[in-house]
Amino acid sequence: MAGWDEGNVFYSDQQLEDTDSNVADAASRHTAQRKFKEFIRSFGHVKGPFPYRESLLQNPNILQVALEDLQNFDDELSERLRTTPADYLPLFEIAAAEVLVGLKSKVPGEDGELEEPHSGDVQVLLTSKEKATSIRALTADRISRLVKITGIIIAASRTKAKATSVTLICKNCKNIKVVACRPGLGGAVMPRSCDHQTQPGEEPCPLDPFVVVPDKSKYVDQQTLKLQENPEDVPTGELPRNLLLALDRNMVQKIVPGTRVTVVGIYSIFQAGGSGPEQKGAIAIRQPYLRVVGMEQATDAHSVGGSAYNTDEDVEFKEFARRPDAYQKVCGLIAPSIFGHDDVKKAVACLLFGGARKRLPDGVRLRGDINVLLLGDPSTAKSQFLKFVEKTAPIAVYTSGKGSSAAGLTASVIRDSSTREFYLEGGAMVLADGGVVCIDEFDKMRPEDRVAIHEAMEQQTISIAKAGITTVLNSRTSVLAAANPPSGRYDDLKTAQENIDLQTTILSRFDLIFIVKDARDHARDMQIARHIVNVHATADSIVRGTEVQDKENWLKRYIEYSKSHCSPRLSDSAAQLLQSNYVKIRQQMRQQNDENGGSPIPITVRQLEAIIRISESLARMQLSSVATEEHVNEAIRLFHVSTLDAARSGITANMVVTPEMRAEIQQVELQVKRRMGIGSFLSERRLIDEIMRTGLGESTIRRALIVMAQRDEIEYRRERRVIVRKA
Amino acid sequence: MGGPLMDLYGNPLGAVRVLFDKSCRNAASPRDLTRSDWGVQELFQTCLFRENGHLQVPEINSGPVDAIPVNSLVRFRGMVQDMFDVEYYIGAYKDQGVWHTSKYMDTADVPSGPEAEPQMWDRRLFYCVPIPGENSWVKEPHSTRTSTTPSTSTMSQGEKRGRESSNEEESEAMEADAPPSDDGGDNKRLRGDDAVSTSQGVSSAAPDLDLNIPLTSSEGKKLVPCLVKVYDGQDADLKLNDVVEVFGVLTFDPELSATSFHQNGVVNDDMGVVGSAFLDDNVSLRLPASKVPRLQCITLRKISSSDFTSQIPEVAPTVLPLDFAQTRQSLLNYLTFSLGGDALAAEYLLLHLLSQVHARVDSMALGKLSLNLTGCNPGSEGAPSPMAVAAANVISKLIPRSHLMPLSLETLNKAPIAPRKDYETNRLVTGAIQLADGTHLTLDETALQAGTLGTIGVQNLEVLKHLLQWQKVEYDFQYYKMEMPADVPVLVLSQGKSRILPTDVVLPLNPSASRGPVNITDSDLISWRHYIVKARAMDHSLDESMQKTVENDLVSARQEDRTLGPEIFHRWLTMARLMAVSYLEPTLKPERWRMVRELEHRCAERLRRL
Repeated sequence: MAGWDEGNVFYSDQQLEDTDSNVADAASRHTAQRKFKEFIRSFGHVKGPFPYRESLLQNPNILQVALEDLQNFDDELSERLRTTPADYLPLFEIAAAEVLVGLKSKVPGEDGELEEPHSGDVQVLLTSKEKATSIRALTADRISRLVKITGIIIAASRTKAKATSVTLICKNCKNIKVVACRPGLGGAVMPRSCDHQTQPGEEPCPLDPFVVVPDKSKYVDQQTLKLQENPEDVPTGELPRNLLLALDRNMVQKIVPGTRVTVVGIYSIFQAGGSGPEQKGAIAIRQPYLRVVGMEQATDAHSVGGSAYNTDEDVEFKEFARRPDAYQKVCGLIAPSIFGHDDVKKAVACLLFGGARKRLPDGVRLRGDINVLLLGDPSTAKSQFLKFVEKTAPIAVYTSGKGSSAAGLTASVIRDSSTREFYLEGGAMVLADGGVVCIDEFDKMRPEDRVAIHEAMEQQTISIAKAGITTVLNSRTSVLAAANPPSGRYDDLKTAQENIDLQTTILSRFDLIFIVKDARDHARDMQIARHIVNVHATADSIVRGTEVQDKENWLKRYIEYSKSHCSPRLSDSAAQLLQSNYVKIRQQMRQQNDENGGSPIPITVRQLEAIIRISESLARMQLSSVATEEHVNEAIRLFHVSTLDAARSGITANMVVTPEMRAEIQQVELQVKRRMGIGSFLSERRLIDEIMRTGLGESTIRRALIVMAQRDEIEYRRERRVIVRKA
Repeated sequence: MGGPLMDLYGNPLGAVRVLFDKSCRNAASPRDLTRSDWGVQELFQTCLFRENGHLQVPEINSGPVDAIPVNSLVRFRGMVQDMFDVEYYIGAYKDQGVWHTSKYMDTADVPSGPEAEPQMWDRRLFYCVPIPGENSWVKEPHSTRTSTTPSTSTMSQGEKRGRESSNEEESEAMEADAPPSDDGGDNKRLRGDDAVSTSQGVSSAAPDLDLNIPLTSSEGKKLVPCLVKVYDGQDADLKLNDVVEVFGVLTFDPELSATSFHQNGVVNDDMGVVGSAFLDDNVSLRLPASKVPRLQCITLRKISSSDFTSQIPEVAPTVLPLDFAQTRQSLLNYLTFSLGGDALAAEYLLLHLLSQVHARVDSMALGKLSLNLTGCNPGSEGAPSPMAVAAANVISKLIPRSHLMPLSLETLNKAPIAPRKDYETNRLVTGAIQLADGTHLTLDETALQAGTLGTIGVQNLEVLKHLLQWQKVEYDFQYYKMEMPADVPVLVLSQGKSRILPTDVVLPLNPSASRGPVNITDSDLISWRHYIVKARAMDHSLDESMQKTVENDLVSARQEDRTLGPEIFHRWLTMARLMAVSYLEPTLKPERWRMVRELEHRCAERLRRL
């Protein structure tokens, strides 16, 4: 433990207590090294006989070792590696290098000469399946232990050369000395005096005689990164903490800022800032950092946030799933402060769990994510649903249609102002890959922006072809959107088309569409009133607060668990049931279309797929690997009360379109087309006034305009004041 | 008690040393000392919090910092603005066979060599700033207290300073108490009044970037932030934006601050030593000790916005038996008068002043009641609206922490008001709305003109909207945003109904002829402050039968008027609660409910008449 304030070379000792027992330890170190070699050579696995030997041959630079394997091989050895990694990891690396040499020398050159096998340097990387420690739990007593943490990389330094051993030369007697450097951010201890035996007559070597010979020292690449706690791990009201990471050799230049990583490393300390010789009162402060010995990028979005579940949770979740009322229970946890809207809650639950992602033999991918649209009156708690999902879904991005452009949702190509290089910036749909995008005020979005997310919603990708960049980004997200009817309130007297007013192309991409109406109903009013009063009367009990928090966390965990552990498929009988039902629905809709003109929401194969997805998600809620008839029935019921109802709604008895009306509507269409060329603009008011002069009623004209907008023949712009003819 | 107490003030480290030595003798190994504080906290706490002993400790911001001797015990009231990472230090070491500790110290002369057996301990670093928006009358009792302490001779300067400022404030208070009239000439004087922390243009929109003080007050007084080092897990329940009172050792090492500046390049000379890759990250080294005093926290306590009362012991007994109904009425009269004789607006303003987030259900913040008073005239030539100044002035006299923010294009476009993380310096750059809970915010929308909002401006408006709707502020962490719960009652003053900022209540002001001047005395102000604190601290409940009554009333109201939605019901219940606590009643009574309905009725009527 020397060198706090001498010279300018410092290191922090990893093993404070072992300084004296080094010699005694040598023997046990030797055994450890032997055991490591044995482990690499002979460890057998269920998947293959000698995984580590094989990997060493294939990739002689790196050896990735799972700590669990080592533990199975020799419990004591792995324990020592965990508690004193700084001592045992080098032994492991030497052992790996020796094994490599041994493996290579088995095959002598064919020309008869035994080639000297090149003993390369092998970097041992550790991985572990244990649960990651929070940065907050790292205290002084964890120093020099092996820890595993997760977080986001927020900054990366340039790669630097770091000496592993320095060659020193004595200024006086030219005595050369090689000093090993401590790994990580540690330096070497520069001896203060030369150990040269002073001969009589010779000038004794002075204090601090050594200078460094840079050319004769050895170096490795080293990079430092800054890691920040995952936002979801930060307790409310606190700020995320940072940790410095030091990585070397094969790990450098692998990570860019913004990546989520899981790292295994040795928690170490170093002295911040160089203390020059002018600094007398040594600052007794050390900075912590993590010497990384293994790193995994969280590429699959689902694995974020510690995919490890302990056995307790495992048992608990499975037990819960077996309960007959599991489905009801899960739905009960959805936005408990919102009263009523049970079916919407069920739909939101389906969206959170999601169906199974499929890949067809021809490479086509079918999405498993469920998209839900909530359409309806203001102040019917639509935004609260969105907020709830944002909070509960493992990954979620909340955005408002009003403020977001297509680029903000999908992705944009940006030219860096300084380097003039193009780069891609992912929008909400890309950021939420593997999660949910909540889009509020969906109707306020500009139509061209809505079109931009067509691809994302169905194909689950976003293609970019701009500025010479053509690429496809993943956006496997569910969409939960909320929209208000164009008139602000849902009007029972208007047709469904007038009330929904979104292009059919976009509507058909939603699996479930709910029209959330504010019904005039005494009993419902009573329930709403009771609910609100209850919220205010009981809000102060603190128990409730934590309980809700616990429930939300539980739900979050359960969703993650079910997504990673269960991928349900339809059973044969369920598929049969679905077929017959689909045919029935199609017939009904056709019949209805014949009677009343087009429905705003066509029922097509897409909807069939939607029902399958919903059935799967229902099965997933119960951790069942098959979606049964029961699930299909519930899915069809949900589909009926949502999308089908929406498609049918508004078509009440008094709104039957008579043949005369239809003729009038066609007349209006003709008038519009005559007045406006393709691509021309006209204010809605003027258009209506002009056509009204031909003797047609205003309501008919408006209806006709809506029909045309639905067909994409015209389009509303500037807050519905201006009409553009498109076709 | 005098003997040991004096010792603790002048030489707290000596006391620590004594305790350390004592526990050293008892401990078998130095490792046993790690997780205990050797009774330091207990010793100090008993001395400090008995018989107001804590008031004897000099407060850092009551006078110049240099006047306080280094290594003495000091007091600091501030808001946690930033939380730094853990710092490791050599907590104990051996020098010539004797154990020493460097706890509560910045530096230590640790001898080199293994015989020192240095022990690594950890402490948390917090960056605390003077409480943003704190009104001068709250500071007053603290500073006078300190100045009367007959302590060391070095205190004389601080003492003088303290007296001066208290005198100033007294005269200010007197001046402000004179009834302001409606004409423009008076406004100018009001504007100059230091008591209102207005953020005119530069002062708040561009918070001091180096020191990260959220609302740099317009007062000329220089308040310093502190770097507080917290030991032994006392930080466990400390959150960002908490207001704390810290008792600790003021340490200052000139060498430390001197060397910290040229550390960047020094290290790189030869190899074997690390390069400058975030390694100079230790923020504490970058903050000059001359501007940011270091405070080694011995004990700390959180203080809420109502805690100021405990500081005025001499008034407390006279206030308790007061007739609260009368206090309520006199306060209402005062508010009515301040709002130009609008009694309805005064009722709403009173409820608004009592509002606070008392619970969060899902994402909803219950208890907030933001108020938008419309019909306020803009001030001439960029001056804030006279009504806004008057309102802010009144509020600043009643609420311990308040702030007036003009929503002009200039201030909105200037700098982000939400705090954001700067990864370069590894600090949380503050914004104008990084405020402690209970800080009142007045937004003057009349200052807004037609024009272009830049990206920052749009974001700022979004932040304000979010605050109004959910009482949460999104802090920008570059790679993601983090929501921080807030409890900041917001009053919006605008000409027409504010379309940008969604408030819970919109009420058009209807000023009538002034009712003549109201005489305000200091004791009035004090009793009103106490009344507000007491009302805010009230518990409230709805009993079964009242719940039933309210439910039925809501249903029948909704049957009559379909536009009444859950939002309005939530508002009514919030108002009912506030109305009840304004009468200091623990449960809701039918007449209070009727009063709320009546208020709402009159409010709706006014809106219709527009």
